[in-house]
Order: sequence, then C-alpha cells, then structure tokens
Amino acid sequence: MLALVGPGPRRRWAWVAQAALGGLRRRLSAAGGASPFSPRSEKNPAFRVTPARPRSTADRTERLDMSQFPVENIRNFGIIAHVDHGKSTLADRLLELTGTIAKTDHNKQVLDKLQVERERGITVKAQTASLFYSYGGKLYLLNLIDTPGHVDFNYEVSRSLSACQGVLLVVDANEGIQAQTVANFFLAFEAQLSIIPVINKIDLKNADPERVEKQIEKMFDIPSDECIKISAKLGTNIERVLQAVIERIASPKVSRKNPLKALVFDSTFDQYRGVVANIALFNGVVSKGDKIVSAHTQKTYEVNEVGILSPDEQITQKLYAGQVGYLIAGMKDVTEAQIGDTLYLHKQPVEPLPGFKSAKPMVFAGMYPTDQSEYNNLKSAIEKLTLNDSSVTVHRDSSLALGAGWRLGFLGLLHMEVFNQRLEQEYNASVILTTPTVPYKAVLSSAKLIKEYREKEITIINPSQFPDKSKVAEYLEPVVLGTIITPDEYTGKIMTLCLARRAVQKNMVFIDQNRVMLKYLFPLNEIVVDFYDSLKSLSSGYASFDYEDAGYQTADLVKMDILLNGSPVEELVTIVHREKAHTVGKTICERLKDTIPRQLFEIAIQAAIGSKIIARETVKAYRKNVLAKCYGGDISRKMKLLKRQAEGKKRMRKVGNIEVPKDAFIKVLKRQPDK
Amino acid sequence: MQRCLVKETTTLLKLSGVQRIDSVFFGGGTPSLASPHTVASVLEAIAGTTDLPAKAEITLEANPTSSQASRLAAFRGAGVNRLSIGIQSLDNTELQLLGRTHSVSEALGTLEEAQRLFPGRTSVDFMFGLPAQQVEPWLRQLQELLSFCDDHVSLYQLTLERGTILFAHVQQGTLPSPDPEVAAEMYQDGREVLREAGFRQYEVSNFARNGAVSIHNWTYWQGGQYIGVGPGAHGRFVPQGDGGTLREARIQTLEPNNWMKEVSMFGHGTRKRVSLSELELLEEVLALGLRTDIGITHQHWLHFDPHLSLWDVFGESEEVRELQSQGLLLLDHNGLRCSWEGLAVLDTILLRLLLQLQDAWKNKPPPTLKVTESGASSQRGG
Repeated sequence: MLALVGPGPRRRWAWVAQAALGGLRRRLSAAGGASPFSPRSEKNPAFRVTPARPRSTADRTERLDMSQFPVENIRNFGIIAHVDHGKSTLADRLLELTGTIAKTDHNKQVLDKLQVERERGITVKAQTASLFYSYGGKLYLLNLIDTPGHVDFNYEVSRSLSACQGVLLVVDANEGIQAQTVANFFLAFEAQLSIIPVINKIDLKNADPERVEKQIEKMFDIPSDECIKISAKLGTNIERVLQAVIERIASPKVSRKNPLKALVFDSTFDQYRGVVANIALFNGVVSKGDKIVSAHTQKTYEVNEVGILSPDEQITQKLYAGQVGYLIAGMKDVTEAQIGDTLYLHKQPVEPLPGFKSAKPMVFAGMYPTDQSEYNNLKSAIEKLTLNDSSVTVHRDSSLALGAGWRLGFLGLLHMEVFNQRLEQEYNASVILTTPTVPYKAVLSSAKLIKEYREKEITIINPSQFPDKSKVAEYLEPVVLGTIITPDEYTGKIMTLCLARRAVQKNMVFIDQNRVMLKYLFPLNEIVVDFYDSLKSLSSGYASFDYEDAGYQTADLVKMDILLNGSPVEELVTIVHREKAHTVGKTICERLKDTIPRQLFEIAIQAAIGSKIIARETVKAYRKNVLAKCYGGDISRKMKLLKRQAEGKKRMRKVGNIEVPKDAFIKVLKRQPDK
Repeated sequence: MQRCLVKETTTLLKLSGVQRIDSVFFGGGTPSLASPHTVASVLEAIAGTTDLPAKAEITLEANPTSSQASRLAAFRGAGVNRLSIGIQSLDNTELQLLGRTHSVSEALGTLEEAQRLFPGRTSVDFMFGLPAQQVEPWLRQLQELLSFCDDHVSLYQLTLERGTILFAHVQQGTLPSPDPEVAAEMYQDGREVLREAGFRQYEVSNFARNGAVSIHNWTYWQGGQYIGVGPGAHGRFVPQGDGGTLREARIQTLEPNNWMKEVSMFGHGTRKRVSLSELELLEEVLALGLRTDIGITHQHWLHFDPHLSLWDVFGESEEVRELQSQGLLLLDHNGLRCSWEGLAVLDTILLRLLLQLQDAWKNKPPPTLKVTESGASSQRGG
C-alpha cells in the first residue's frame, strides 16, 4: 500500500475548502455550464502538501512503478451529494478501508482544516486519492476523484466527472433528495456515467431508506434494488460500496499506445514548486522530462515530477492511460493550468477534450479596506488568495466614499462568501464588501457605436458604465434556472416569493407524497442578495435551493440615481429593473435617512430615474443642538467633544453642501446582514 | 474640610497672583449643606489675600428644601448676596423622576423666602425635555413659575445621565427616551415666553431682567480666569505666582479625603494641570463667547490675540458666509455672534468655526515678537 504514514515524512494535509457549504444559502451558486472556472483553492479538493516540510530523499528515490496497473484494473469514480449528506465521511471510510489512511477515531472530516470550513460546516469534497483494493484475487487501483460539492463550481464538477466513469450519489436517508442532489445527478447523467445510489445515515432514528429508494426510483429512474444502504459514520456496508465500484463502473476506455492526452481537472499553487496540476490521463504515458503543451495557452513545459495522490503526493516513475495523479511542470501561475485544459506531448498534438471554458464571473462586488491604511495589506492578501483561484477577477476600483479598492468577480455567492471569509480569517483583513451585482449587458443600437465600443454587446460590471438608453437596442440580464425542493406545505408561500422575484415557473413535480420540486427561471440579480434567507425562513429551513446558469434575457433595466438635495451621489448609482426601481429606491433612501445626521437645513434624499423622482425621504433640519450647561467645570469636556466632532467632520464626504459620514455610504453599500 | 477649603483658597489665590476677585460661587453638589460658617471663613480668606470688593457677587447654590430655607438668612449673614435655587419642575411626579427630594410646595416656599432675603438676586433653575413631557403642560408650568420668580431664570434641557433613576427607566423601557423634537419646541417656546416677560437671553440657557445677569457665569463665557477650590473643582488661570505665562486648566483631586490630605501637605489639592496653548485658549474664547447674546466683540477677541482679528479668521470663510446667509450667524462691525435661531444650533455652527480657526492659525504669519506676545498672554484676563 502506498499510503505510508510511518516512514517518510508525514505531511500535514492542507485541505482546501470544498464547495458544499452548510446551510442552504450557501447552496446558491452562480456557476452552471456557462460559468466555468479555473482552479481555485477553496473548491479544490486536492490534498496538498505543506511546502514548509521538505520532502525526504527517500521520497525522492522511491518511485512507484505504475505500469503494474493495467487499464482493466482501474476504476475512476467520484462522490456527489447534497450538503451534509455525508460525502466526506464516506470518503474517510473508503480511505480507511483501503488502508490509505490509518483507521482511528479521529478521521472525522479530518480534512476540514480551514476555519471557514469548520465554521460553516462546509463539507470537504471527497479528496482525489488513489485507493488500492484487492477483490476477487486482483489488485485494483480505484481513483476517487474530487468533485466540488457545490454547483457554484458546476463547471469544475463537470470537468472532474469527465475523468470518471461512475459516481456514488450519496443521499441522506432522513432528508431524502435535495436540490443539489438533483443538480449533481443530472451532471453525472449527462456525462453518461454509471450512477451508484448510496443511501447514507441509515443509523439515524428518523431514517427512512425505503422512502428515499422510492424517490430515487421516481426522480432518477434507478431501480430501488440498486441502492446501497450504508452508515458511513458507523462503517456499515462500506465494503459493498467498494465492490459496487468495481462491478458496476466500467474501466476507462483509453490506451497507453496513443499519444498523451491528459485532462487538468484541478490545480493548486505551491509557493516553492509552482503549480501542481491534478490530471487524468485519457491516453498515453507521461513521465519526468517529457515536454508537454497546454492546448489552451499553447505554452510548452518540461515535466519535473509526476505522481499519484494517496492522498499525499507520491512520486511515481510514470503515469499511464486511465490513471489519475499530479504533475509539476514549472507553471508559475494557476491560470497556466486551468481546469478543463488538455495537455499533450510537444510535437504530438491531439484533439483537446471538449468543454473547456475560461472562468466567467457571475457576481460582482466592490471590496475596500475598512481603513485605507490597510490597502497594501489587503492587496497582498487578495493576491495570495487569487494565486490559487484564478476564477476570481480583480479590477482596481475607487469610490469617493470608500477610497481605493477593487471590484471583484466571483462564480457565485458562495464563492464570494468563502473568499471574503478567508480574507478575514486567514489574512486578518477587515473589508467592506458592497452589495453584490450581476453582469448586465447592453446591445448597442448602431454600427457607429459598435465600432466605438469595438463590440456589439457590452458587459456592464460597474453601474457607472451603464450606457444611456439612446445608445442601446436592448438591455440583457443574466438568468438562472433554479431548483427548489420543499415539503409541499410551503409550496404556496414559495411560489409567492418566486413571483415577487420576477421568476417564471418552468416545472413542478412531486418527488414523493409530500415533497415537491419546483423549477423557476430567475433573474440572477433577484437571488444574489437575500433570496436564500427568505426561502429558508418561510420554509422553516426545509426548502433547499440550487441553480444553474441559463444565459441572458431581455430586461427593462434603468439606471437609478440617488440625490441629496438634488446632487447625485456617484457611489450610489444602481442598475435596477424598472419594476423594482421604486422598492429598491425606497430602501436606499430609508437607509440613508437613518444614517445621515441632521444638519442646519433640511435634506431631501431622493431616488430618481432620469429626471423622475421615484422615492423620497427627508432629514429634518436641526432645531436645537447646543449643550445646555457650560460652566467652569464643563469647559474641558465640552471642548474635547467639540474638537472630536470637528475632526470627524473633516472626514465627511460632501455632496453638494451636505456632509455625509462615510459610514452612511457603507451602510447603504454594504451587504446587509442576514435577516 | 472648612480648614482645607480656606487653605486651598489662599494657596491658589497667591499662585494666581490676581489682584481682585469679582465673584464667588458656592456650587457643585449641595453646597448649602455646608455651614454658613464655612462660607464666611472662605470669604474672609479671600478678602485677606486679595481685594474682594463689597459689591462682588457671592452666589450660593441651594436646593429648595424646607430645612435649607430656614438657613438662608444665616448664609446672607455670612456674606452670600445671590441665590440660585434648583426648582427644576412644578410637578411633583416629575420631581420624583428627577430624583429630587423636595416637593413643589417646598420649592415655592424656598423661593418666596429667598426673594425676601435676596430681592432681585434670586435665580431659579428649570428643566425641560423630560421623557414623556409635553410642550403645552410644560409651558403652563413655566408661566406659573414666572408668576413667582425673581429676575433670573436658567432653562436646562435634561441630559440623561447614567446612574440616575430616569436613565434606568428609559433603559428598561418604562419611560420613552426624551423626544428631541419636543425638546426643541419647548426651548423655542420657552425662550419666547421669557422674552415676552421682559427677560434678556444673555446666554444659551440663561435669562435675566432688570440687569440681573450672573457676573460669575458671564466671566466663564468671556474667557475670564477662575480659580476652582474644593474636591473635583476646575480652574483656569495663569499661575503667575509661579512665574507661569500660559493659562492652565487645573483640576483638583476629586475624592474628598485624598483632597484634604493633599491640601494639608501641599497647601492645595491640584491633581491635574494642563497648559493651554494660545490656539486652545482662542478656541475656548470662541466656543464660550458665542454662547452669549453679544457674542465676541472685536475688542474682546483682540484682547486674546492682537495679531489675528476676527476678520482675519472668519472674514473670507465660505462657511461663515453660508451661515450668515442662513441667518444663523453675524459677523459685523461689532463682532461675531449667533442670531436668535443660530444660538439653538450653536454646537453645529461651532464645528465649522473651530475648523476655520484652526486653519487660520496654521496659516498665521510667524510671530516676530515672541517675547511681547507671551507678555501679553500673561496679562490677559487679570
């Protein structure tokens, strides 16, 4: 067995947070087929070696010969599951049972190393690990390939799955099928993989595996006798799972004789060794010293090291077709090893694997240091985090109220939250995150304009770039197809909520006697802020939600200005759907009213579309603001107070002749806390 | 205690080097609980150290309880010639909320006795802006007070202080927090009522008729020097007796026993001394002077800084122009002062003026005759 814990240096496993965050709101995601992404650490399943520990000489020399595992003895599979349905616990058991990690009581999601994972109950996705298992007198190489558990990372999931021939679809025996189960199932189904349903947590008091079997049969058309009922926690029936992997999943259809064709399905950055790419070999062989080319960048590299993950990195002489492992080839940046890219040998080009897409952010938000003196620290923290996550787009931005900062693009809300939380926890950065926005598009109306902008459709990331209606044939907004699974008693309320979010119902199915699956087409901006919280609260936490990208649709968008006594406030320009303008404008005006201090004159806070005022609040003038008592003993205190206020006044932002504390903007721009 | 008060008075008077004392105020806490004898001793000490003219204003702060009323004559005998009575309210429920131990009838009795003993020199404190207090009933109380009171009224808006009964009520939600709109209304209406009754509002909270202005408090607002004696007292003077040239803000030790120990050992219980820079002194002159109806005259200002006139500081200021156009502030040949409306929002106005002053000070041409200037500062406020 290769999972040596004893000899050789024992490395700490640096896990990276996986996608599946606990709590339903975390299941929101913006990815989907059209929002591919590139390697980023938090979705990145891999075990990573901590660079601080040098590799021993023994490690370097003891190279494994992987040629002893012919294709027919290889199975490549993944585990997919809804949040908290037990994916990482099952992975722990599989690793233990195959001797890949030592069996102890401590293997309880041992891989959840990041604070963000522990706090949010993020389920670490099954790690990529090569398991060795003897069955029927043969030694099998079972490659458990990491798939991010969240559909924010849908594209990654699809790439990971493309290296597999089958999946374990884990469903909680108590909760049954949830929104993410459905999304994951269809990804695997579309990839034409063998699907082994695994009903987990049968030890729970309220477990009802028979009911879940029926749901699986109804929803996925899988006969109930194919379900394996297990308790990953107690280790019940785990052997059956391994046997099913061997029996029901085909070996990869590949050949060692063909030229190298390797899929990059993940990558991480190691500050000493550069990019570590996780690869699956579709054809051929790769070994140290080979010259390889990235089909995407066309750059050539020399391979420094190859190996398998078990789950620590184990250097091997070569990797052969059908095998899964890692490769280090002097790539300096994760953008050089994007997920979905194909690697081939220099001068032996192959047809790249289909489906490669570059990361496309779907949710944007401004990020600013709470204190401008922290700008450089924050900059360096963002740089470090994006080293492992090229899917985060970073543009410098500045705001009169918030100072210098960035506009960051994320794959989805979860992605944004995880990024933000990691900045705060791992880099101790204090940031102001503005309300997330989505990338709108404008189709230009004339050839002249198209020439001027050099494209027909322009993407609007920052509301200040919103082109005037006169230049635009139509505006477009991103939409997503949302899946909601809920006990039927909440259906009415949920439908009302969806309607209020401008969603269009596409489908409604009973998945069993009392659970309903609803499909809605949502404008993305309607769900980016608090949809999940609303859904959760009106269903007492029972409804689950997931979504996938569904392209763009025409939208009646308008630019809304916020005026203070007639002067527009640049940082509060907002793009809204015309129907929602009044509600949104009113909310902003009300928030401002609560935060702008009274002044010597009345302040009109207005929301306007063009010259039309659609909402108004008033801050009345001060009528009395003078300390009543000021005698001998009060003077020092009074002067101190006045001077402190005068200092504060210097930091106010002036809009017209109105003094607005920066706090006021922050309160309006910042994401609102969960309701 | 009495011995220490006398001792500290003497020490600090000598330290200040002042030639004459124009007013004495026995206040803070419940000074009327002290004996008339103590008051007499302190006054004697002052007269023995420096000039204390017979017409000097000697004020005593008194609570309107019946036991105090009976001692007023004795205080007058000790030298007190002006009385300030904390009436606060003419509603027994409100008095209870305010934690006052007197009743309305006691208050009116004390007031009557005081006016007999100190005719034309009795002041009353009256409060507004209590939780749940309404404008109309309060105005009726004020009218009632006017039918009894003498020539001086201080109107104070309540500030909720931690540790008071009211604060606890508001915290627990048994009483609403005071409504600033209602308080503003009371202030405006109250000022109006007092004006119609012939009172001059000579300061934010102080009203006098027949020339009954408090000389002592006026001195604070005019940036005069004062000596604070007793536990926790504040003072502001140039310690000329020590060769000092800058005015100091001084605070006496708060805890009475420690204060007494220090006075016994050192002659005074000054705990903290902070020299005020020339700019800080000007800031105080500005902030305090604008509390008065006449504001800051050019002459008065030049007394504190002969090289930087009010015109230099505020003449070109856009903010001052704006305040003037809003009718809140006036800068003219008399000086700088608030309008009737401006006085009510002085704290907001002051922020702008203070920043303007700090700015002007930064850009002030460097002094050419440093020695002369510090000489001038040592003579100020004498």
